[in-house]
Amino acid sequence: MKKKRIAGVIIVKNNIAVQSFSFKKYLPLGKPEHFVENLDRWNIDEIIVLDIDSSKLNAGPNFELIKRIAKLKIRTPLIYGGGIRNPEDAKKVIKSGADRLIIGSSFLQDFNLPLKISNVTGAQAVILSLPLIKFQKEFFIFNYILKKNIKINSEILNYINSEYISELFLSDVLNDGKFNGFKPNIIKDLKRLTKNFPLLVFGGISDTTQINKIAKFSNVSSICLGNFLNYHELNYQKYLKDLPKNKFRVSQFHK
Amino acid sequence: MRNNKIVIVDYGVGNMASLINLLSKFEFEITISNKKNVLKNADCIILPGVGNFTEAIKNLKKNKIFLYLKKLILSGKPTIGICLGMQILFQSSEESEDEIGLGVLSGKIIKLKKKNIGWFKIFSKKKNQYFKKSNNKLFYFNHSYGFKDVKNSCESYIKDLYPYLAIVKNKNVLGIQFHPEKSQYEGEIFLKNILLDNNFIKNVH
Repeated sequence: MKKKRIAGVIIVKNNIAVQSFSFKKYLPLGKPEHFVENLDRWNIDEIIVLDIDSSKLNAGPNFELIKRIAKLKIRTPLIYGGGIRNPEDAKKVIKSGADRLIIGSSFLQDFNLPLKISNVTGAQAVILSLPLIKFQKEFFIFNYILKKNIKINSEILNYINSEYISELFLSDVLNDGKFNGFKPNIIKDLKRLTKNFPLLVFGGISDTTQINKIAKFSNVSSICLGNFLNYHELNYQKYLKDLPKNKFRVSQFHK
Repeated sequence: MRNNKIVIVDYGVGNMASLINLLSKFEFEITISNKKNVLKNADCIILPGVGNFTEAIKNLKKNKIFLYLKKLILSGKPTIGICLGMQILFQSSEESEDEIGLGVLSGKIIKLKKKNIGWFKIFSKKKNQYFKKSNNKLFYFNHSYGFKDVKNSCESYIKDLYPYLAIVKNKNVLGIQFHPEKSQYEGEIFLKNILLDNNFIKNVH
């Protein structure tokens, strides 16, 4: 059986790791490198670093942050998202130390961006961010820069369902940061919309009951935990104890 | 410090930090280079890689080492290819219409029906001491193309993806589809078993 992955998500604002509440309010936590080191030490399946300033300021990706993380000698796959505007940015993100990347709001300006980026990084490295809002049976992508909802029409859907994207990073915008906030129905909806496209799901996932519920969806490949991992030392190991061993990788804590 | 010099070929695809960190742990002398004289003096060459087949070959050609590298590997230089680094060792790939591979392993890289991303158990097909300790262990894979084994060159594989291979070995050439440098403890044991316990560099043939 294919193992579901568990990812640790670190949201970075002004080079500080923050706790996010629906991507509107932020509580500073500390140096991102510190959280990356912890997640790597805990042998989590993958680490996702999201720099939310990079897109807003149109400053490009935070290469210095990626380089600083690469220097930490981590042995866990690293995914970076934030400010990736073109193939050159993508190439540099990988060269700086990320294994995969997340395309954010730039996709809404250029629907061919996944194609262009996959030509230099390979499609396996390309993840598309889908900050999703469901309203009256319709689906919208939330544009963080413009603070605007973009309706997912059939044209956008065709670009999402493309071979140039390996997985979708689904975030439940309205429930991010809320304890037990994630609404699994959104996964079912997306399964129908995107022809079973593999998903990384994020936003308000906070306990193992909820993780187990989400893991039952065949289109979920990774369950992404943010704030809730950071509260205690070895929190990931505590989570793993309550998860079925046939569905998740039981990583050994060797260090 | 061991006397063996390992050269990681720099051809502009992907980050090498994790690999360098891991190999340094085994106390090898590590150099990153795309220079012919450095490659020539290496005891072992490693081709890493996250990227696109066309881009990788174009970069090797741009650095004028494509033919030199091919000649060097064919002359018996111990060589390890990781992920895309493994794929470019083959003759060609469906990922590239414009460029052919190094051709030191025969066959064509084929597009997978489904991209293979995540942690998968690998199983040994042959009883090769190099991979004994890795049987039934989980490693990190991240690829959209792979090599379908038809000539029994496969050493290890993933059950759901068979006959696509996870590891191939032919004389001095070792190809690894997964990322040992990103496979945490198991990745370290895997490379240690090859490079130290079984001394791939000396006992390669």
